[in-house]
Amino acid sequence: MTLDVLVDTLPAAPDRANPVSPTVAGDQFSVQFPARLGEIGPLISMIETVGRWHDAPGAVVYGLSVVVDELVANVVRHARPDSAALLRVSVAFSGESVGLAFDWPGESFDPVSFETPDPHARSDLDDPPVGGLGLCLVQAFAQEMRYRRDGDRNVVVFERRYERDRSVMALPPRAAKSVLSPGDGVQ
Amino acid sequence: MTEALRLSTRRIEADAAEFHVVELAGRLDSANAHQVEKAILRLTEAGSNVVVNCADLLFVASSGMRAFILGARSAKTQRRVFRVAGLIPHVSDVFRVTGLYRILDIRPTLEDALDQPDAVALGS
Repeated sequence: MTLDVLVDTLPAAPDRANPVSPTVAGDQFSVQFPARLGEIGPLISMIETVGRWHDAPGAVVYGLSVVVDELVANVVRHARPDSAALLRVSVAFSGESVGLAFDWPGESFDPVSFETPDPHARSDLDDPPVGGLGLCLVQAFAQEMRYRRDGDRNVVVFERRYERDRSVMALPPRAAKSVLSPGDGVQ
Repeated sequence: MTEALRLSTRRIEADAAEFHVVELAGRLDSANAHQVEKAILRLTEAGSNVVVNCADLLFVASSGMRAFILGARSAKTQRRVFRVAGLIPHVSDVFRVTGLYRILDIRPTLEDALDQPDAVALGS
């Protein structure tokens, strides 16, 4: 089953008594899907729906969607997951903070450890390497990013606190407060 | 819910210059960015002045911005104009934090992008 089908099954509000294939546990939403680029659109649609459940500001949902796009694209292009591998995404809102966790089986691949060029150092069209923009965007949204190995799985966690009516896309000093449950929602 | 990407092109003559306008709407993500990159480069490599109208573009990720950078570079090589117009606030934030606001020619609206004297004139 692809995420396209699952998107249509998501209720306007979380139905905790009858969770569909994406699961809702407390304030945590999880879904797993084949690691391929075509799943990005439906996954973003799901993030938008979950954001509405929690009355999250549009800027926060947009930032989450950017992280989802960049992470899935990186895993598909660079992590060489097994063709049958399922990538799992969990989202947890807690007050005015949100956590996003990805995990997938396969070779060790840490997508948050790469150095990114300073985007504001470039002064000319011919300056910038085209690469590096994705992680730059992820860093602009996430106040905290962590990677770890869990058995044969890769686990990446992003966290962000936010205030309503404020832009969340910035290059902030790093500060973090954990909002995901122990185990980062990837039991 | 953000729609999937819609892409179309049209030709406009304005102020004695000819532009090809690439209209983008919906969501420009890593799954469809290559399609946009190809459409833009086909125009710039043919020597067209290009305006990408993003007034209805609701989402863009880095793969989409790659298409804009490559289009602008290609247009510069061809000595043609490449402009981006109509960014909504969330999309504008993405351009700002990645520094692209400083290196791309970004205009508030499509009309602003077309109504400028420094566009390359027809037949030049």
